[in-house]
Amino acid sequence: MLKNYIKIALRSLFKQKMYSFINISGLALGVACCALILLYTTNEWSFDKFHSKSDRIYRAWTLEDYGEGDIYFNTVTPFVLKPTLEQSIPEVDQIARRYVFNDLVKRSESDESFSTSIQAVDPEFFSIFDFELLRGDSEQIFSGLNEVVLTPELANQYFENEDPLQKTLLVMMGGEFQAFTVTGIIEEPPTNSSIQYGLLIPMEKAQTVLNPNSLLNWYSVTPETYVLLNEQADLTAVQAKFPAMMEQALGEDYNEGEYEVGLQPITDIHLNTEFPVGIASVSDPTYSYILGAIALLILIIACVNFMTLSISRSTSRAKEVGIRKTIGAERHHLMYQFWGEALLMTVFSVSLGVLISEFLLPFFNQLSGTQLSLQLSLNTILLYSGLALFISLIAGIYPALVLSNFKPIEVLKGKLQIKGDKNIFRKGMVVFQFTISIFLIASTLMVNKQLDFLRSKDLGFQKEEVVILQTGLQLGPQMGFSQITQESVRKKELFESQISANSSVLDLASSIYTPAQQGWIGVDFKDADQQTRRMNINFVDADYLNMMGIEVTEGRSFSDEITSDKRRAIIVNKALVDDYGWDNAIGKKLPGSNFEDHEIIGVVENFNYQSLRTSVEPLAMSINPSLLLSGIANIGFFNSPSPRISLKISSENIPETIREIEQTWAAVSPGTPFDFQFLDSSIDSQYRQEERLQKIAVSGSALAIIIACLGLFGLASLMISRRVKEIGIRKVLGASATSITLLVNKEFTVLVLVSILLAVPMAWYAISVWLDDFAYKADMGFWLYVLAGGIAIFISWATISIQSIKAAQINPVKSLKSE
Amino acid sequence: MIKLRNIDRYIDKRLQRNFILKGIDLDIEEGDFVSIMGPSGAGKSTLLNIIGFLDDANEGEYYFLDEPVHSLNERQKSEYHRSYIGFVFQAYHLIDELTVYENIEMPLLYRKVKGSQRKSMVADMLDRFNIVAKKDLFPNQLSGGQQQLVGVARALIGSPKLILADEPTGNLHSDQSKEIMETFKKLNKEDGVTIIQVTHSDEMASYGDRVINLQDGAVTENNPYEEE
Repeated sequence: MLKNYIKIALRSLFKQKMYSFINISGLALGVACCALILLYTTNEWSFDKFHSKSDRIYRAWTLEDYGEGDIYFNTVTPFVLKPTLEQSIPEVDQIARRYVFNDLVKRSESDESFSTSIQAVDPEFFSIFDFELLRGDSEQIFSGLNEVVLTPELANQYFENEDPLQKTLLVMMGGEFQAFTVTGIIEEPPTNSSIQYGLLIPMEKAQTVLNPNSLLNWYSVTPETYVLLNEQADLTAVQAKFPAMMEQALGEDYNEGEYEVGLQPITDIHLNTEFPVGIASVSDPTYSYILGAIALLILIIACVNFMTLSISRSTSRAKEVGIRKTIGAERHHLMYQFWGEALLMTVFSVSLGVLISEFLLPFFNQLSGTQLSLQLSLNTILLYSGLALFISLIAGIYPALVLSNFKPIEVLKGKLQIKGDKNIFRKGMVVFQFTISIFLIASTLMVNKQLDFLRSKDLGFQKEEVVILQTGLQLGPQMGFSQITQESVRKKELFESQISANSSVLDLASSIYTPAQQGWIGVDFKDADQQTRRMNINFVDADYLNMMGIEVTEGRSFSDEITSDKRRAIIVNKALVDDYGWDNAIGKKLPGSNFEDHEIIGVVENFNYQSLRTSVEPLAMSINPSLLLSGIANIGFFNSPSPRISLKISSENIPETIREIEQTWAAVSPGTPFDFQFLDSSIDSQYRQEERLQKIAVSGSALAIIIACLGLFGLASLMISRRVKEIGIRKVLGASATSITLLVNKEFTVLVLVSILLAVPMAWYAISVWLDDFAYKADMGFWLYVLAGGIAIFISWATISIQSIKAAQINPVKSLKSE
Repeated sequence: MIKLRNIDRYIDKRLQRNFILKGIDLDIEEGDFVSIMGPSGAGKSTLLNIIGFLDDANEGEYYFLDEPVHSLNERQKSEYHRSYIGFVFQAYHLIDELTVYENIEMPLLYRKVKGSQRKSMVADMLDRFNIVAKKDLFPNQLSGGQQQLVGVARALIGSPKLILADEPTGNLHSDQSKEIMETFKKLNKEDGVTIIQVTHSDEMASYGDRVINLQDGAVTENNPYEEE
């Protein structure tokens, strides 16, 4: 029996090649999407779960709350938290801290140096986590200070084919190269690990170059602290002991509720955006939701195709149903048969889909910013079989029900009227598919528009042809803000004197921060009424505003001629003036009491130094760092402050100019790596997430419309094949080919129009939710929806017309004779 | 074998009730070869469909082998289709995707006949109708008469007690028609199979031993020839 069913299924599959092709390929595309998304989401959800003790590992957080919104919530912690926890909390098994800094590493004095991300970790790092030490003695590791552990990739980079163990590496620490011995090789961190690393050194060693005060200070946060609790520990009970611990640790500084410590499960880090980002990266689940929703929609469209086509196609199977019933088939026999056929088709489709997903994987990785790979394990095979079964159930059951319900005498007499012919179901499905497609098209258009808007908006400064050069200067024990800014200006002037012959570099200036760096330096200070004021600050040289083309609207810019500018001049932006409610800012002072002697000499236009997600925040700039640093109560920055030199270059022969700059830089600052970026590209990179969304939206809507059109193509051809006689009669009565084409197209156009009406409000809502993220938005023009609808109508017309024009040209003699 | 009592079949249209069959009383004994005749629209096919459980009467009683058909459920009806009744259609109604062999074999599949037994039964049937050479062909590769032979073979393979044939020769030319009718006659005489056929042709009707004339949904003449 089964053999008979399979035979029939395969033969009818091959007999109606076009429908089989449409059904299988459409569903396969849907399945491919789904397979990729499944891969992505399982990867997202598996983050950090590979540690065998993952249920006992927590990351500590601190929350300082001094009232009036003066809140500091961090997942990086004070260094002193580790010894304090070890002393006060008996449930603690082990604690490992880690922090990351970038510095230069080289093999020997004469070698080239690499800028490398260096992780300082406690020895417990190797026992708490499951990162496997491939070589070296895990008991002894980091028992000495000058030890270093590498991943195989880095080991290969430094030592190529030599055995790296016991080799020496020079690492820049505290301004000088220090020798380390390689004592271990550790496996590459898995891609689904929040903790990523390459080169590890002992925390104890890293601490020797830090300010000793910061190691005991509860208000300075640097490392992440990972806590392994013992097996009996109860998280709530442990956390309940923290207030008492803090009271003891802070002594008389302790006020209830001001300084909280807590633990976050390690498996929660990756997808929880409510905690501030520490060192471990966090992924915003929104984008995986969007990705998942699009994949699901595409799968639904494909399933709908499958259903509508199967039902429409069923006329050709009706006779068989009738015969089988007269021979004695019961309804359940026929249900099994047709459902079985659906299953066969879905098994084909799913297998094909998995193949397609394998091909699409590199492209998908690019879209989602991941490095996923497809592994066929028993689990995934079970998963895909389950998916096939599920799809065949939802897509196959309805056609099976319809088909098995045919009355034999009706179908055998050819009187059959499939309900789907006139009923709302099939039309509803077309509307449904097109609603989704139009929704996706409109969203894609809007994402495009917003991105164009972000890229082309006048930011209030010159962003083209500006090269940002890293000086590599860092804050350190002997290097305060004043020292590094002065050093940077010195290098800039030296650079200027060397390069004067070269006309390609038109202008240059030094500053601590440049646009497109998140937040610059955020500071708080108390004004005369003890109100907390917030602003961002930046330290620039006298040429910076001029060079960047930032417009000074009141007062004047910094000047080299007026020597007091270097000491006491401040320039603020319009947002700060508005924030403080000043009519005229010139000559005024910042309202804090502790600032050194200063004067506001100018006000600049609100240029967008941050990303366009936020509106311009109050900003103060000075040449003298201590001027602004003296009066503040709190300071925070995202990236460690390091001066940069901005160079305005001519637009001609840029590669040549870059080479000149590199050569000059090597002379000006020997030993410092040449690290540069174009300002406009780093500004664009702020919107990488949006660009990713754009790519997802484009490919998603393209797929959706392709699958929907496949379905439409099939439906149109079925409808026409049933109307061949009508078309023939109309032609005999004098209808032109054009009028027949229009007749057929009209029916579907109405459906597409209905879809537009449904899709527009949905798209409008989704888009406005997304745009809420931005302080600066492109307007959602009416034309956008017109265009989205127009595209849908155009594509559907193109699809149907292939069929209807063909039908309209059939000689009526043929079509009528065949009846 | 078949006992129809006061059978009505009608379609309600707004205010009017259109009778297709009205007050049919009919008895058919096992071993009869009956031809139902009458003009187009007289209700011949409807009567045949009701006899074959493919259609239900609106009123009246129907006993098949003394079993009240009007109270059978779908499952039981399928059971009868499988074991007692074979159909032959004017348009042959073979399954296009199956070969001659597979078409004939199909009823056995629903009766869950074992593979080896199935093989010999189909082989017998192919042999009996002289179509062994055609067993791997698809229906569209056969002539009309050959297709109808396959149709008859399929109807017979379940060794039914009753064969219902709706204008079995309507699409065939005379030589082929004769062949089919000879087959029916032989079945009736040698195997004692009851045959009910609908036909327009007196010649075809003459193969049977009883004629029922229908007009406007009522039996006008029952067995006109017998009286002669």
